[in-house]
Amino acid sequence: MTVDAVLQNPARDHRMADHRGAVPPELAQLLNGAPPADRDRAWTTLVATHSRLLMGVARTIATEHDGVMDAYTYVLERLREDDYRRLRAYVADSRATFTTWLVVVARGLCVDHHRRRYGRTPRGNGTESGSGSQRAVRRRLFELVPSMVDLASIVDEHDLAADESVQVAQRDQALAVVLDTLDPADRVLLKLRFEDDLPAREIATILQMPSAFHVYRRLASLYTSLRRHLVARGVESSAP
Amino acid sequence: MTERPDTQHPSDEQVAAFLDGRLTTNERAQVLTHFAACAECRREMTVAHKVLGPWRDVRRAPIFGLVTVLAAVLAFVVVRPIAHDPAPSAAAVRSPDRVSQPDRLAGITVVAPLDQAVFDSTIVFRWRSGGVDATYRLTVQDRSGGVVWDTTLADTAVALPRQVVLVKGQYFWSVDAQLADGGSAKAGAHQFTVR
Repeated sequence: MTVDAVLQNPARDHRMADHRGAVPPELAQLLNGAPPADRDRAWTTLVATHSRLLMGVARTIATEHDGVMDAYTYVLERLREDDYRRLRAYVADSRATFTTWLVVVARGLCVDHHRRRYGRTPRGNGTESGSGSQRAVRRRLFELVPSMVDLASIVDEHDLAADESVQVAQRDQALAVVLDTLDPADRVLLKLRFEDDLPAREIATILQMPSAFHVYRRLASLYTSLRRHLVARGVESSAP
Repeated sequence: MTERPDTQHPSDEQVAAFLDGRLTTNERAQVLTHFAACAECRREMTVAHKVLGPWRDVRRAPIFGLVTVLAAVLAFVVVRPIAHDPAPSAAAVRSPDRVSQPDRLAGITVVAPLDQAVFDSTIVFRWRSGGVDATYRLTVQDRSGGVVWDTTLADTAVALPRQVVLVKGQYFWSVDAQLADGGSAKAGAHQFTVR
């Protein structure tokens, strides 16, 4: 089978790579101290087998062809440097499938490549703050207490009087406190749904829930619980 | 609201193992705690999940195909004995709202259409409530097991949308319920015919 044929056949690509927790044979050959010619062949096979996947990752960081190819090339260079140091890390901890591991590593390398070229993005410090988060909080509140509010009552903080701003801050603080009491999986569930806007089906896969049904069911249960806690803390409405 | 992750960023190996469901309980809790507070790590994890989507689908496709075939076979085996009236009257088989004998299968009681119902106009699916706050997934399949329409709703009745055009032939419909207590219930496949 030619390289092109491999690239056009993701099913074969996946079958070759997706031995859960097992090191793909070409990777084993690459890292096991085989003669240079054999290692070069193994590298070529490894690249051909996973090129579609790596191109898919590169497309998450760039849209133009040249940008995608730059990112793809950067990933290959980084995977090969220091005698395949990164690939050896997979061998040392191969709990995940090689495919999944490769996507996570390649995505990290693509982000690194993007930052080297364009600098960090404004949201790059990993913390959650600012007006976007405040809007998300308001949206969550609206979702959580639908029986208490109508859409018109959700106000823009910028238009509030001073005392109302204090009330909004207290409301947000109350919500933050209540959210902190939740199980980490529930907090991630809410974040994925209301801050990252992921569909329930995708959340179900990420959190290993049986179906989107279970996501909706869990969300409904969380709304009830959060509403009860917010009311207990004196938050009767999303309006100040 | 400002959140700062108070745990270390998970390693690439941990994120990959998380996506594959291979972390220990404690390690998974630690990673989730971090994801809850670190938008950047959460974003990277979800991007990786999206990229993996087609590959995961490829892995599942043969399994789903097999399940579909098995479901079609099962529907034939299960549904045909339920067709209890060997010589129904014309009025009975052509009434979409025939509700005289609700059929209870595995917890959800189907009201209409019952087996052998024949339609030439709007099809309304009805079933008994599974309890307060239950939600339902209705699936309509053709004879080959292919899903021609499915929907999720909290109500216990729904009409087939106009934009879903069923060609003449036999179909099967089923309801899966998610109950308020986290349990689930099913109504087995029922047959109807579009003429």
